[in-house]
Amino acid sequence: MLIKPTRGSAALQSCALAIGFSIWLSAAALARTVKDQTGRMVNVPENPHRLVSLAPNITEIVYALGLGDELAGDTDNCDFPPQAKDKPHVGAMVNPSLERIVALKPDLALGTPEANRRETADQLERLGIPLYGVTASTLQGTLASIEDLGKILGRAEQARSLVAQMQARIDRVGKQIEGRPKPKVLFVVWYRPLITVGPHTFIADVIRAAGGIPVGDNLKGEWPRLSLEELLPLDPEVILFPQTESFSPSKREFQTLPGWKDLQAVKEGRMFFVSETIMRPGPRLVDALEELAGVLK
Amino acid sequence: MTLPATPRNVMAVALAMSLLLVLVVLVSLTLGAVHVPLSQVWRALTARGGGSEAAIIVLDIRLPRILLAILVGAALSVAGTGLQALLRNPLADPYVLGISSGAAVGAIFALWLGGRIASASPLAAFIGAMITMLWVYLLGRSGGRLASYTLILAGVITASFLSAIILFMLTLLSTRDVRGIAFWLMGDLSVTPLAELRLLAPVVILAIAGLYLLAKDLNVLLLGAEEAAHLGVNVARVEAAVYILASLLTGLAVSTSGAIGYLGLLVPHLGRMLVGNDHRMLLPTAALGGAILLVLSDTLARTALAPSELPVGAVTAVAGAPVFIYLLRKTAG
Amino acid sequence: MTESLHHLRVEGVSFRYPHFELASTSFEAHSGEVLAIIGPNGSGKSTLLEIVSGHLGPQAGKVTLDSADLHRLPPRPLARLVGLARQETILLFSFEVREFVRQGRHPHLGRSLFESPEDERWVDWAMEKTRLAEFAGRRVLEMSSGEFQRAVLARTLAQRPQLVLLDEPTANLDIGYQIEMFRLLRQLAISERFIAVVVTHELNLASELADELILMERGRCLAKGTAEEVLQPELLSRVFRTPILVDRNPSSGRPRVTWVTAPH
Repeated sequence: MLIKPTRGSAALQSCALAIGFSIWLSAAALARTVKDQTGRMVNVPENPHRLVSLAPNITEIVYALGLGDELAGDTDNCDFPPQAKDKPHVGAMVNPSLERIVALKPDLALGTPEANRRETADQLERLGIPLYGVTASTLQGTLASIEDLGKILGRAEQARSLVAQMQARIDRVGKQIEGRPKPKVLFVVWYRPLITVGPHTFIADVIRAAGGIPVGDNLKGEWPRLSLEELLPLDPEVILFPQTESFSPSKREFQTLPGWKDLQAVKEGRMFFVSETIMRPGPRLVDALEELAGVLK
Repeated sequence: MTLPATPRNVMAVALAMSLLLVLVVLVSLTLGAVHVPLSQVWRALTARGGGSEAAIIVLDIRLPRILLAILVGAALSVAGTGLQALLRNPLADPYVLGISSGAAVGAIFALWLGGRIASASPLAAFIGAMITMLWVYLLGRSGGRLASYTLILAGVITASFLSAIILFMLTLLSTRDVRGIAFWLMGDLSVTPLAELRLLAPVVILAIAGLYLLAKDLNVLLLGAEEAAHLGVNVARVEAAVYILASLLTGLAVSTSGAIGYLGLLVPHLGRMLVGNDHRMLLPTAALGGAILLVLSDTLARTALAPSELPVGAVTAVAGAPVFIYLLRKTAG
Repeated sequence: MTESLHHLRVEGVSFRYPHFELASTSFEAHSGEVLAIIGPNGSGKSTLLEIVSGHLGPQAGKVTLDSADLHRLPPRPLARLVGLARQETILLFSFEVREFVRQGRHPHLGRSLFESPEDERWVDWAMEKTRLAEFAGRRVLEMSSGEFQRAVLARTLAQRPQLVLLDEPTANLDIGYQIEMFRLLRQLAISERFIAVVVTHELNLASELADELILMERGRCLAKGTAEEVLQPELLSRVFRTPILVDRNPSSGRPRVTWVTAPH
């Protein structure tokens, strides 16, 4: 930053500097340095009251914790709850506009490495805006994220009760699926090429909690690609598609596709659409879990 | 049009273009996802903006990008001019010798190693670029000098080999890192902090100055290697110097901001159309012209689909390809 | 070019390629003289010229210009003394004619990046002598090959060398320009006191305008001397492997070579 003291206002400037410095010092004293869920050290302010969310699942968590009013801005993709759509947008998840974020004057930004780039976190840090990252690779991990966010956002109570409710529903599902046969499930993120979920993702975990066995235990990464040759021996009994705007192939289509048409799931017509919420590690993930348990019956 | 390269003409052109650059910079500072009026831009620049959000946007977000755009635009354009003289081909570009692929391999390698090394990926990219430069140099030498056909062959083969390696390494990376790299590969001016700029600027300026000192040799080199030797040019030494300086400039540009395409190819060409082939006039024209064009491209990238940002390489490609095709047809016809 | 006279000595130079050998050759020349190297294709004329220019190091022998060994000079001082013009590579860049000729001043620019007024004057002089002044603003790529050759000669003259070496400078010129170029060379060799060595196929032009001829065949120098001495019919017939008559040019009295086309 350029600092060019002009003669006449030198005294005024040093006063302003001193005041600013003490405010900064006190603000720093009121902030604490914590480790976020991605392992980064973040300077979180004591009572953040202007938040920017950089991912849709975080937006849902923020609203669920009753902090809807404190949300100053979110991304173009944040569509739940409906009020989130009316919040000022800062752009897409992968390359949000730094200018828009700065213009909103947040004291804390929230992101997730699944959707946001490390560069964005570094750049925001350089501009003095801390970014707290949450991540979840299991169902329990999602609950932990909610509790964690609750703690740093000063809504620990709400978070605990929300998590308790979610846990109760998870346990109920667990009882429901007791004794039921566990079908092999293929979750199709995209079919050309075939992209499915890795065994260590929260989606795979939800499938397990709903009484299914996600195919491909030895697949690597979060969104592994499968060739048709690899798919055939896995022979899933159930195929799931997330219901998004851009993805609605018909079952009949698959019964004609080479490779696909030989799978027992396709032959028996056990192909189902599930709500998109299964892809969002947030409060509605248990809705997806319950829906999935019903489908896999 | 050819302007005779006299010191006065060169300074006049350089001055005119510098003024244009300053104008473009001022306008660009007002544009972006958030509109900042010129008065606030001015206040921010003269340090009277205080900590206002306008000042932060202008000084911490836009200005570093614009300064980087100036450096990278100038570096790539000058590198392209030098390489076109070295290879005696007006359609050569700085990436034809594999430097950008080498930088990409370096960056991806650092990301794959992860951790602290990942954050030093610009340095790794630069090292990758320099290793590639050395490798292509050793491969492309023929008879003690850098004959253009062997050099191009060596460069093209190396580039395609490295591209295959890049694709392979991308499959090893986790999805999040791939997303990050994709942006870098397309050209991204937003990730470089001011501190890095302070390291970058003097090296770029020195390298450009070095090439300028070779300007009269470059002119003669265009006549042909033999003819240049007959006119007293130490061809082997000049070729080596041009190669190293052009590769250095390209490596610096690519490791800080990814592979921004078309600039190194088109700016020298446009420069030739404007001021002729004399490098004493062409080099400053290319440097300043490249800076202006990249600042404009970056501003477009920031504003066209605001608040989303396009990668600047996409803008130069979309704008550059039709210009390239037009120029190609013009030279053919 | 200086006021004094220059002396070129080529002493026993030889060079062996994998399938061609230039045998030991020697000759001498002085300022004001035009030397012509003649002979069939592949006789080693161009190789000899390259060695004399200082750009191809001989495997034996040496070339001295006023007692300076040309092969020991670094490129720039060499280019100040020796101007060599050969068949040029095709240019992809569109230079203006004057820019092209101005390149000849490169060896004299020294540390300066730009040409001095004196440099510009020599460029003007070279273009005037080769009658290219009217072409100054034209593009080199737009010229006919004959005009281009004049431009190359102008560039060499702009170098103001003490030794001017030309390889087939009249190859694409019509007869009028051919005579003009050779005459110009003679004139300038005398007025500017340089030595001209020209490789040429034009036996009759060489006869008219060269002070000395050197006849090469398969890498050997077969004859060296005046036109009278070198242009012998039996020798020429054998070397060029076709019957040749030698008579006299009625206007100049110099030997005139005629190819025999009808059997006798």
